[in-house]
Amino acid sequence: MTAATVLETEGLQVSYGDTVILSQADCSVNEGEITCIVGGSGSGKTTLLKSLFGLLPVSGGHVRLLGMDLASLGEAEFNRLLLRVGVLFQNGALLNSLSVYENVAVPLEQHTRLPQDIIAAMVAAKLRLVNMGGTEELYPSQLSGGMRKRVSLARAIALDPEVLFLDEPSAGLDPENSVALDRLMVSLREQLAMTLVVVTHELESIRRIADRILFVHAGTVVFEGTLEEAEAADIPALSAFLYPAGGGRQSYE
Amino acid sequence: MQGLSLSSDGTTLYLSGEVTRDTVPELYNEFSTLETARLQTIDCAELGKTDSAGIALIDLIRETPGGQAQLEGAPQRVQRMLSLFAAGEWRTAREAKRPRPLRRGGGRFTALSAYIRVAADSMVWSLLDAFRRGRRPRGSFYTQVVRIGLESVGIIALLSCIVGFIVALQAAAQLRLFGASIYVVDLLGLLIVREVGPLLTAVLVAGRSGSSIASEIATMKVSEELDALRVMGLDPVRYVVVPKVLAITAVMPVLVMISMAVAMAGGMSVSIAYLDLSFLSFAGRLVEMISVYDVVIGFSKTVLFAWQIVVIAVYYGFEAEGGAEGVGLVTTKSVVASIFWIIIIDVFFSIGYLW
Repeated sequence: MTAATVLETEGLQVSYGDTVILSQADCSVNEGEITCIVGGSGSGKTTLLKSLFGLLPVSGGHVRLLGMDLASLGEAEFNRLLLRVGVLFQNGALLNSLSVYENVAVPLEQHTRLPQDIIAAMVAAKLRLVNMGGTEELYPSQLSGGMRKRVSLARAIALDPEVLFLDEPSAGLDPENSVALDRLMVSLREQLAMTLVVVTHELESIRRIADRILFVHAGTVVFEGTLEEAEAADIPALSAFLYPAGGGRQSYE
Repeated sequence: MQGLSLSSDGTTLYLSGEVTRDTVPELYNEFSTLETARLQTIDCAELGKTDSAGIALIDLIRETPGGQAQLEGAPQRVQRMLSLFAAGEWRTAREAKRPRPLRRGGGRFTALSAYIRVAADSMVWSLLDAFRRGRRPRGSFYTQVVRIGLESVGIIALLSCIVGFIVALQAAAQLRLFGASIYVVDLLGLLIVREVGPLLTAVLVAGRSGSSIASEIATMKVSEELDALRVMGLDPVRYVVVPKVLAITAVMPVLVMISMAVAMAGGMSVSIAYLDLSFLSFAGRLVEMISVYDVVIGFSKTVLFAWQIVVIAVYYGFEAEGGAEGVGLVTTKSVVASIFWIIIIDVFFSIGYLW
C-alpha cells in the first residue's frame, strides 16, 4: 500500500532579492513517515524547509501542504492550516520574556478554549516527553542550547500537529540527548502517526530515523528516496555526503 | 453519542465519542458537576478520536479524590498515547502564567509603505482589541503600563522640576528688571502646558520606552521569535504590539499631567523664593492664565506623540536584520526618528496655537 502524500512541491523557486536560493525543486513527503532533508551547508535545506510551510514567500512553483496549495490560501485559511503543523526552529525561537511553561502554553491558550487544568496537564506531559519535566518556571536564558531546543519541540507538538517540521533538531545536543531525540521522533511517528520533515546533516541521526531522504544540492532537490536507494544512487555529491571519508558503503560499514 | 456519564452507583464513568481539544472544554465542565468520590473505573470502550487534550482529561479524571481510577476498554491507540506522555504527575505544572508579541515583515515594500502598513495594522488592531481580550496575552497591558508609565515617573518628574526651575529663573531675572515679576506665571503656565510638559515627556518616553520597544521587537525578529509566533498562527502585531499601543495611549496623558504639575512646582519655588510672590497670587494668576483650549491641545498632541513613538519603534523593530548589530542599529534609528517627528509634529501644533 502506498502512503498518502501530505506535502509536495512542483517547480519550487525561492529567491532572496536577486539571488536564487532554490530553483526547480520538486519533492514530496508521505504521510506517517520521517523525511530527512539533507545536504551540505549552504545548499538550501533550511530555505526549502521554511518554504514548505509558507514562512518564506516563493518566487515560483507550488507547495501543496495537507491538500492545500499555499499560494491560493487567504490569511485566515493559512493561519488555520498552520494549526495543523508544528515547527522547531534551528535555535529554538522560544519567546525570551516567557517562562518555559508559558512558552509551551502559548498555542494552547491562544487557539483552544481548554481549561487551565487541562492546559497545565498538557504542558507538563509535553515537557516530560522531551525530558524537560520540572523546568516550567525557568526562563529561556536559564537553559542551555539543547534544553531550549527541547522546550521548543514541546511547544511545536503542543497542538498535536499532523506534520512536524524540524530544522536541525540535534544540532547543539550531546550524543546521548541526540539519540534520545531521535527516539522521540520515531515515537511521534509510530505512536501518534505524525509526519516529520527534518533538516539535518548528521549522518548517524539520518541512519536512525529516516524513512526517506531528500538530498538538496546547489539549490535543488537532486535525489528523493530511501536511504538504501540513496546509497545505491550514482550521484557524486550524494555519495560524498553519505561517505565523507570516501570509499563508499563498505568503508562506512 | 459523545460525552460523560456516571453509573448509578457512582463507581464507573463512561467516556464516549470524540475527546479532543474541541470537545474537552465541555466534557471538563460536565465532569466538574459529577459526584466522583466513589469512582473506580473509567470505561473507554466507546471512546472515539482522541488527542493529547483528551489524554490530559482522562488522566485528570483518573486522579479524582477517590484515588486512581482504573481504565477499562481503552483502545490501543489511547493506551499508546498514555504511555507516550508518561502520565503520572500531570498536575506538577502550576497555575498558568501569561505570555507576550509581530507580522509578515516589510519585504519588498518601500520604507514608507511598510511604515504605513505597520502604523495602520497597529492602530486598527489596537482599536478593535481595546475593549476585548483579543489575541494579546493576559496581563500584558498592565505589564506595559508599569514599564512605560510607572517606571518613567521618577525621571520625568525630576527633569520636569529642574526645567520648570530653570525657565522660571531665567524669566524672573529679566522680568524683574521691568517690575513685571507676576508675568513669570504667565510665561510658565503657557510654556509648560503647551510645550514643556508634552515635549519633555515625549522625548523622555521616546528615549526610554521607544528604544526598549524597538530593541525588544528587533531581538524577537532576529531570534526567529516572530516567525515562531507566525507559525503558531498568531499575528505578531496583535500579540506584541497592541498591548504597547494601548498602554502608551493610557499612560502618556498621565505622565504629561505629572510633568506639568512638577514643572509648575519647580517654577513656583523660584517665584516664591526669588520674586517674593505668594503661593496664592501664583496659583490665582495661573488659573486665570491657562485656558481649557491650552489644556485640550496639550493633551491631544500628547496622544499623537505616544502613537508615533510606538509605531516608529515597532516599524524599526520589524526592519531589524542580522544579529546584535542589527538590533543596536534599529534601536538608534528609532530613537532619532522618534524625537525628530515629535518636534516636527510639535511645530504644527505651535503654528496651530496662533489661530
